Amino acid sequence: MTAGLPELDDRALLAAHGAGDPDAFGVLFTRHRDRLWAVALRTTGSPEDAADALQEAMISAFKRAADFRGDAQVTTWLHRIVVNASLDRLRRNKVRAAQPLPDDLEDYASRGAVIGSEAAATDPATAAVRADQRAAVLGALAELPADQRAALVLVDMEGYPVDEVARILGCPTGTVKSRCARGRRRLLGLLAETGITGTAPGTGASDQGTDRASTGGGAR
Amino acid sequence: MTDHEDPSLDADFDDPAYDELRGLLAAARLDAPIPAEVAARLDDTLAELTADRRPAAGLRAVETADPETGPEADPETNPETNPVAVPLRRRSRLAPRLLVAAAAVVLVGAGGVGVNQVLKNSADSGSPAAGTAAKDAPRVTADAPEVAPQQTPEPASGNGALLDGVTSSKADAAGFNFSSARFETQVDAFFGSTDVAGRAPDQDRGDNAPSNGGSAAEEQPMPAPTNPTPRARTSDGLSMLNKELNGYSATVCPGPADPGGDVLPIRLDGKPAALVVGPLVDGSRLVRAWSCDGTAVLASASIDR
Repeated sequence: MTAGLPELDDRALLAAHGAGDPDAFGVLFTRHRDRLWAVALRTTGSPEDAADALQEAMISAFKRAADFRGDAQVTTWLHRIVVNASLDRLRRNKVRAAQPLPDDLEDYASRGAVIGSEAAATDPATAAVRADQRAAVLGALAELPADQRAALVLVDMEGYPVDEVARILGCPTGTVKSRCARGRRRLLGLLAETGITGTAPGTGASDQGTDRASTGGGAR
Repeated sequence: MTDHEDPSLDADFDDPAYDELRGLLAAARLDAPIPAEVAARLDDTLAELTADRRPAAGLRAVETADPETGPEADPETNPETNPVAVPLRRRSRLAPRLLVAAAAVVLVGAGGVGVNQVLKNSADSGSPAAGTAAKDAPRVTADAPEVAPQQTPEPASGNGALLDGVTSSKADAAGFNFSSARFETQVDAFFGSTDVAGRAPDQDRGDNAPSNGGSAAEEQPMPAPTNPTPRARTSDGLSMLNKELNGYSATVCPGPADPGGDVLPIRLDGKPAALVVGPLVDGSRLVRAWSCDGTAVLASASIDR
């Protein structure tokens, strides 16, 4: 590895990659791949699809580094490629669009995907409740249309600002908000059925129907 | 369509009634590192991707390390000496073979020491790793691990009997093996006007395709110097390599007296020959394999770059 690469910022690494440094891209991608993996996994809902999407995204980013024009953060650019690869994979697997709960959810949970793990570590009961909640949330998330799912993963799960998510998804901020709002509404309805949380404001069974209609074409 | 901006949904976006749900979503965030098996898979893929460009970096190291040309030889920083910029991607394809040849020149020039070692690592066209398409590409029969340990243009299969060549000519050591029967295809692949799968080198090679989905040849595209002749006229390091090859060829297998282009030592059907790369004329150039005595054109092909 070229000396000093880890000290370079993302833009410098991408520039070094463009200049032919054989190690720069690896440093860059490795730096962000945990988060990219998380986004891919939560967007696709399947470890296998996430791995495929991430691999495809990495190849695409490697080859298309010259396309990066510098008007966004490198991480935004990388996330965009990963999200697109994830959505592409979902489209390809449309037959599985209504994803079942990932088979190895518990496996992934055991790998540390637990917020508040400190408390959970000392309170097995709390850990169990949170694991149930997480499983229910992920299961419900898998029921959402891919675009809403991606928006919620990026905004509510990963905590990216709406404007950055808009750049990642390549759509206006209003669209991101709309997708999030619709996704949350539907998600809340799904979770209410499981008793994980209450019903959405002003929604209920009837809203569930409205929402299903909205995913097909109309705003509420 | 549901994606249009909807002010009412904008209001919903900030509705505190969804705070609990947002909290649940945040709690479902994956904070674990990427699984080891996925990381390993990505590392393998990345290694394949970088293997294609690693020799290019090595080539630049050779260029800049050249005491006669010095840093000015770096085509990236000295446009005056690089009137025709060669994209890195293409240069990276050219680099392995030039490095192999240059390494062979260096080794032979040092009295032949190490030639056996080089040839011992020669690639085998029958190697499963070579893939079916790879047989249409000229084989690089010499690797140069001692000279450039990172720069392995093709997987070495370790068939030491491929060339009985410790005592063979310097052309053996250069190791560009062509077949007269597949000369046109091989030249095409060698210079990259199309790759062995029949695609143009700059054509998108399927960015969405997993890297392990193609054949070995697809994964290791052949070198593609865009303008070997113009570059050979520059004074950069690559030119130095070409000059070495030309000079080397002149002493071993000179080919025609007036080649009208760059001369590379090759083997054609197992015998030494001189590959003459003609100048670019109307978008194409003539590539001929001459007999060493320059009396006969043994094979000919035209490439479109």
